Amino acid sequence: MIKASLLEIIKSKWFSGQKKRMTKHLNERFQSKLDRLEEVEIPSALADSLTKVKDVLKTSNDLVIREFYLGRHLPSRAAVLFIDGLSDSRVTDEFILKAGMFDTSLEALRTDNGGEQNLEQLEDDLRRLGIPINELEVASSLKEVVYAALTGDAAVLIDGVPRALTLNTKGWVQRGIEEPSTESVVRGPRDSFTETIRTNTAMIRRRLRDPNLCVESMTVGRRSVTDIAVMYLEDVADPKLVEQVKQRINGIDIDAVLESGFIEQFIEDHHISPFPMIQNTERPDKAVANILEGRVIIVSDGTPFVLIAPAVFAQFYQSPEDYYERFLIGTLIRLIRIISMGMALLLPSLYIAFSSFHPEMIPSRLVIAMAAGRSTVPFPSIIEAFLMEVTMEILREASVRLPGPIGPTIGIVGALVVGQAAVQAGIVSPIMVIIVALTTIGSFASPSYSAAIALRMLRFPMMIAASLFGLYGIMLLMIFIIVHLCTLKSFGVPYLSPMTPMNLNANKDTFIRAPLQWMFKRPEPFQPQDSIRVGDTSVEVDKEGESNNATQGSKQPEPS
Amino acid sequence: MPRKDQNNPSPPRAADRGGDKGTKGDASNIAQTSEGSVISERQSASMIASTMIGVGVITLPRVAVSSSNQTGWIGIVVGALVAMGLTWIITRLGIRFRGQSIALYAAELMAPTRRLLWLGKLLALPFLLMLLVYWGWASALVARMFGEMVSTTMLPTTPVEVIILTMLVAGFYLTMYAVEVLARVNEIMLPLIVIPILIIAVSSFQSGRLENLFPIFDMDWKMFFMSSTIMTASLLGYEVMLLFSAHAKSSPKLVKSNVFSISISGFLYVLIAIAGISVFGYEELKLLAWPTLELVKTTEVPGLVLERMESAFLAVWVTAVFTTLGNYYYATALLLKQILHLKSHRLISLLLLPAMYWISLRPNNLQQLFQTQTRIGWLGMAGALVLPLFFGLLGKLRGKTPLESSTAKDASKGEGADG
Amino acid sequence: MRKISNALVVLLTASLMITGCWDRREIEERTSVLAIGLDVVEDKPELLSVSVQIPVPLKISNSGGGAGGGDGAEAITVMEAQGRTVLEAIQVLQNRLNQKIFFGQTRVLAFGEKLARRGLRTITDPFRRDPEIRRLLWPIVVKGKASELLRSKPSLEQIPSVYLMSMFDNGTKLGTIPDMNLGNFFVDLSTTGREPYLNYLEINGHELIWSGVALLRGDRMVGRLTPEETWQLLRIDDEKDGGDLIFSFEGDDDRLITLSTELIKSRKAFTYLQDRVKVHYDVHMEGNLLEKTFGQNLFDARDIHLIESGANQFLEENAKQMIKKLQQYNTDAMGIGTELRAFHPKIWKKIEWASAFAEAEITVSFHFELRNTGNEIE
Repeated sequence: MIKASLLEIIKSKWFSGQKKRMTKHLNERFQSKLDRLEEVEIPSALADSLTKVKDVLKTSNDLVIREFYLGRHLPSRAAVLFIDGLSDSRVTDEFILKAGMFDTSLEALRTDNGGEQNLEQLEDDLRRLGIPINELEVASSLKEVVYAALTGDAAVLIDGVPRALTLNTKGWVQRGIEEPSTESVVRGPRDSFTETIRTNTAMIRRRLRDPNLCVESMTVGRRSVTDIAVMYLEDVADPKLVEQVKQRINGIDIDAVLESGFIEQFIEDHHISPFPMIQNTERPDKAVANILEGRVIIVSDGTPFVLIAPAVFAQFYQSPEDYYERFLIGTLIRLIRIISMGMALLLPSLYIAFSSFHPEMIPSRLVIAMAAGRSTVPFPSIIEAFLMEVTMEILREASVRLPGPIGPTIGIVGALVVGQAAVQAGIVSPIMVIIVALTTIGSFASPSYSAAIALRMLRFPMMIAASLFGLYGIMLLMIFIIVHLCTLKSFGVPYLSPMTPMNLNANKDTFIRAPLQWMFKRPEPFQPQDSIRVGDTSVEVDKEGESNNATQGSKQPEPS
Repeated sequence: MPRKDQNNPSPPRAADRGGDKGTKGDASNIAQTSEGSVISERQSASMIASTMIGVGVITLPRVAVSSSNQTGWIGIVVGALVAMGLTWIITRLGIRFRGQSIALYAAELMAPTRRLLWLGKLLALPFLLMLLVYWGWASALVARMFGEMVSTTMLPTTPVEVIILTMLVAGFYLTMYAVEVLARVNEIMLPLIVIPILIIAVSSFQSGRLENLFPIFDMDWKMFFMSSTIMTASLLGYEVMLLFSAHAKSSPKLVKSNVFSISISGFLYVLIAIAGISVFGYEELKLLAWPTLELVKTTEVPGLVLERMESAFLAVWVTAVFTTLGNYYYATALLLKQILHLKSHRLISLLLLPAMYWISLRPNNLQQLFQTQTRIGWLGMAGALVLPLFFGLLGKLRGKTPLESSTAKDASKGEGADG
Repeated sequence: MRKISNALVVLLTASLMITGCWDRREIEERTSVLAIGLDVVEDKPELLSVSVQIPVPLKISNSGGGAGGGDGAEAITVMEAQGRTVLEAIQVLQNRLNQKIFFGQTRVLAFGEKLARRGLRTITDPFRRDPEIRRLLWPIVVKGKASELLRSKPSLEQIPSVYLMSMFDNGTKLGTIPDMNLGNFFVDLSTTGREPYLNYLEINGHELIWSGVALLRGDRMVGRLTPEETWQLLRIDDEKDGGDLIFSFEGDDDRLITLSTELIKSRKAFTYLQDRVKVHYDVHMEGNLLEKTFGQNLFDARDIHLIESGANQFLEENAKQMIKKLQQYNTDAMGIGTELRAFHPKIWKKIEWASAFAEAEITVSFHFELRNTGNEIE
């Protein structure tokens, strides 16, 4: 038995280092209805087309089919179909029905029966019908018609013409531009992305009026057919990176993409690691800043969170706010964030380690006070810590769903009351309450939610390690975490750049935030093509001039 | 309003979904094999420095004064110079045989002609085996010394076996990944090791007495020689570059950065030795089992909340030991893999784990442990001194080896074939 | 294969958790010993008496849970036991306690005078080996019995050892008490050319009085230095301030002057003449006028000079006394031997310091400079 399992181990490919085989391709994969429609042509007869469409769309009571007579003089029967709610009925009424009925003429289409119909000519003629809509396509298959309707466009079917027109009439109700809910700053823009992809790409465009900004569209999801836009600066981003991203997105085979998180989970490098390999943000200014550094943005319809690839560890504590204030303040605040990150991860474990294993490290007076505080507690400190931490997590999770104004209040009051009551009842020691409070607050200091979760999670194994081996256990687990971080690569970029592999230039922006005048090169780990950022051509304010003016009062300023 | 796309006019076709699921997995696999990893100069230097700064830091002052009293630290300077010279040779060998570790170029150098490469491999084998035994034994020893230390001072009732096992498992975890990862880990951990030690050494000077260091040159040649030899043995660690320089970026800066890293470790060692001697005096020092730890115990960093710093110091020291252990462990596995021409070193790593555990438990008590340490020091000296000198000399004498002349064949013969 | 490696990992982790954490001991599960006292047993010379001072957490806590606000009297308990060796006595003590004894918080190690005169090397052996014992703790010699010290209850602190601790911590910062912690003590014990000394404490009812140092030769106590003499030792050897100088102005005992000492620099010069080592110390001091008991205005140059020379005289007298005592007991507490060995190895090699010290000619000259007279100019 042992021999067999040993043999298995030896033969295993993981040990012998072979690459993973490509997963088998399911031939009998479920083919979506929509795909099957690709080959179906639009029948010339209007009635036939309509029947076919109604067939496909089954019981869709919100599908509006309006038959009308197209053309002013010799009108043909036509029908416009669209989905109520997705299409703007004002547009369909004004620009399709009205224009179609009163402003177009069908002379060019006098082909009717008989003879070969020059399809190209036909399509050309169709385009020349005077329908004043900015996006107009000629559809040749039923799939395009159905797809158009489902996306919010309108399709116009004309009797006797084996083609249809699809026109852009999208107009659904959407949320207005509001403040970002998860990433607020003190100073900086207050707009955040919304759920419509076009609004989001526009917000990015507004901030980056560079002709090199590319917006590549694709769709993901068999049933949801969600629009995705991949944005990057063509002359800055590494083409290999862009290629990778697009390839991975194309490889996603899923029913529906409800949130960018789905995409994130499919294209990220290391699924098992608690650390996020791809950033996400609600803020356009953060997205633009990342584009400028050579990263790739993935905007997905239906969610305000856009993805930023690749991601590195620095995302945990960098916030766009750092750059809007002056550099000293930015640096200090960043340091505070780093300290609070450390606190959030280590504080409970340090408490356990010190009080149970190394009390000699605590100043004598504190030891006696701690012993006094703990004298009534029936649990060992690890259980006490776990109890309080888990309670805190429950409170936190619950407070997300508490309604409106009561929410934060209950959160705070709950924590205080629970903590105080627990101390009075003698279940926990007062020091524990302080530690838990500090830990929780510390974990909020990280500007990136998904990154902060990683640390929150790691707190618990850390506590276990501390309870087993004290300070040695904590160090051991830290070493494991550091090694793990070193193995992570996000789209080919080592996760811990620019700390290792060490890159002094990019380090101007890790722990400290160097003055903007110093950051004239883009961070190298992303291998941007165009490295120069802020040029040396920016002019230093002539400070001499200022002070001279101050002292000389009314004297005429020197001609410069 | 979203426009129907010019780029992608129709919804995705079935044909587009061509088995691309594998591609996203590839990215994570590319760097998993050790071949193809590239180490920068800084990383190479960090590897050397962090391998050198290991378990010996704790016993260093005592070892230094054991043979030459208060002048012990001078031996360290000599040892560091010797180490620098050897590193220079090793790095130059590595540059010359680009992409090949000693396992390969040793055979090349020993083979008289190309036909007789197998002979070269045979002749080189004893050298490689010596290196292998040394590295394997050294990692086991490091784990044991560490375990003893932690067990005595931090966790008295925890069985030593458990501490050793946890440390070995951590080292094992490190070997599961590519050399690249090893380099990164070293690079990021080096400042964590160096800076606290610097702080401790410098702050302990305040309780030191200058007269404990004098007279400086009061030693005879015999003492000087003994002390230098012993300290050279304590300064081992750079010989792992015999193996890892295969992955280093060949650049003119490489030699400089490698040699410079020796000066970092050498400087640190000298500092600690001087601190130890000045605070304790050599007589007391000879009586202390773990002198650097005692040094930390007597240091009061003013204004700090925590009182006894030695637990904090030990936490940092765990990192130093881990890098040393991990590097040696990895080197053993990698060398074995290259000798046996296997595909991957992971299986070897796994098999080495119980072996090293067993070896580390061989010495029965502290006295035997220190004895083993000395023996390994001699073995290491042989490996670190003799090997580079021998092969360096050989390399100089031979000019171009028969294999080097056909460089095209070399590129594929080297690491490219595996994985 | 994946399954096997996963299983291995799970097994490993599980086994770690099952076997438990060996060293974990909650803070309230330890009996922290704050001070240890060692004494001889009167009628049984082969036995030792070990006493420990243990805090009672419940009486101390003044936060929620537990009986609030303890008064100093019951904040600690002292327990005593006898044994042939230190550890044997401690084992007896352990048998009487409900939790394991923990020495990590021990701050004071007190030796009864009789024990100190007997010899301390073997007594301190277990403390050298135990990693729990801090090298920063204060070893002191107590006049009488060490257990008396442990039982005393100075009213300013809830816990007596904390009182002692802060007394020594602050004293060393002020420069009035020598910084002789356990580490320094051990170093001095092992170093040839230097003899250790320990702080000496007297107990008066519930008051603790620092009374200079106990001089040791080898590891035995041979004599004492008064506080003033100790300060001289500190000034000459350690460049510490010592206490204030109080001396009579112009030899007149009715006119007393108090000077503070601020800055001290001490220089040594060694020579070797006629088989005798000659050491000369030059000590420069600066200080301020703190108090005078007579009305004369001393603010002109001549008077200041008089003050300074008066101070010098006083200091030199004191120093002479101290050195005489040292040589009488033949204890080189100033570490002249180590200096010789370090900076004058030729001289060192010629002499036998153990005997040469008593015959050496050691002189000190002081140079005091008066800086200011406080808020009053007079």
